[in-house]
Amino acid sequence: MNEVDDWVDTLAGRGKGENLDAQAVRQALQQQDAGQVGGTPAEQDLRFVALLSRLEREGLLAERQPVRASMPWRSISIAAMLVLAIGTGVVLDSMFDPALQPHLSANFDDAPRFRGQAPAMIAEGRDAQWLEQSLAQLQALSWPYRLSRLQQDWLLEFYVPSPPSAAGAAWLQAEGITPHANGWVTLRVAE
Amino acid sequence: MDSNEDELLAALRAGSAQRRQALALLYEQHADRLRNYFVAQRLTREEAEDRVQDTFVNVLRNLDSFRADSRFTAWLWAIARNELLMFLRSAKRREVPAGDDLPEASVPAHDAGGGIVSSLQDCVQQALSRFEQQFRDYAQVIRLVSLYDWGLSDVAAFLGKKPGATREYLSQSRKRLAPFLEHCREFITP
Repeated sequence: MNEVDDWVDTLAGRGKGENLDAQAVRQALQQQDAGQVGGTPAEQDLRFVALLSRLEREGLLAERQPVRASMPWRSISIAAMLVLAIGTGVVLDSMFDPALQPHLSANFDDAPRFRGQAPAMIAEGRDAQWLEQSLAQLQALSWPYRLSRLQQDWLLEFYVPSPPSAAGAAWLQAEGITPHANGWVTLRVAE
Repeated sequence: MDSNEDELLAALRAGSAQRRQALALLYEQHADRLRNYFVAQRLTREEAEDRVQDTFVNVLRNLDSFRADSRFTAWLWAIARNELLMFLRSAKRREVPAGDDLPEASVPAHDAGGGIVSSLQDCVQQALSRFEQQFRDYAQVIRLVSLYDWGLSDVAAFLGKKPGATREYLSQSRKRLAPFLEHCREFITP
C-alpha cells in the first residue's frame, strides 16, 4: 500500500494509527461537523416540507398515501412524521378546528410553483382567531392558500398574484406582510 | 455499499410511503452538510438551499442509474457536485479561479486570527480553515473522506475521475495540506 492509500485509509478511520496528521485531521473534521447545525429543528422541518412539496409536484413521490404508524424508522421524530404527512398532502382533518376550514383552497394546486420556497416568517402575536380571519380574507380574495400544522404551530402558505388587487394590497399592508419575490408568503403562527 | 445503504436504497426504490421515510432519513443525514458545502463554494444561503433541493430531486430522478460500484453517499455527492458545477457554469459566477488551480500554496502565517492555539485540535481546526480558503475542492474531498469513511473508489465516483487520476488528486490534496499542518506537529507526541 502506498502512502496516499494509507493516508486516505487513516482519514477514513481505517488506518493502522501511524499517520498522526491524518488522524488529527479526521478528528478535527468530525468535531467540526458535529458542531454544525443548519438551523433550528423547525427551520429544518420547513425546508424538508419545501422539498417534499417540490417532489410531489414533480411526481417523484408516488401516490398520496398516509404514513403508517408502524414504520421502523426510529430516528424520525414524531414531528418529522407530521411534517412528512403534511408535506405529502395527507389531510389531517381531525387536527383542524372547524373554524379554520377549509384549510386548503380549491385553487391551491393551480398556483405557480418555483424552486425553493418562500422562507417562513414567524408571525408574532397572531393566533387561531387571526388565522380564521385570514382564511376568510384569502377566500374572499380568491388567493390560493394552504393551512397546515407544523409541530405545535400553524403554517399558512398563500400566493399573491401580481399585481394584487387593491383590496389584497391593502390587507397585506395592514397586516405588515411582504410576499417573497416569487409571490409566495409562508407564515408560521404559534398556537 | 454497506447494509444500511442497501436498505436505504431499497426503500427509496420501493416508492410510496417507504420512499418518503427513506428520504426523511437521507435528508436528515446529508442536507446540512450539502448546504454547508454549497455555502462554502460561495453560493448564497438561498442558492445553496435550491441546490440542496435539486440534489435530492435528481437523486430520486436518477435512482435507477445508480450502480453499486461506489457508496451511495458518493453517488449522491457526485450529483451535488454536478449541480454546483452546472450552477456555476450557467450563472458564470466563478469570479476568482478555484484555489486548486493555483500553482503553489502560499501558507498564511499560522494563528492569523491572533487567537491562542492551545491544543492539537485547535491548531488543526485553524489549519483546515486556512487550507479550505485556498483549496476549497481539495478540502472538500478530505472532509468527505473523513465524514463518510470513503475509499478511493468513492472519491473517484464523486470526482468523476478514473482510479489513477483520483489517486493523483488525493496525492496532491495531501501534499497541499501538509504545509498547513506543519506547525501543529509540536502538539503531536507519538
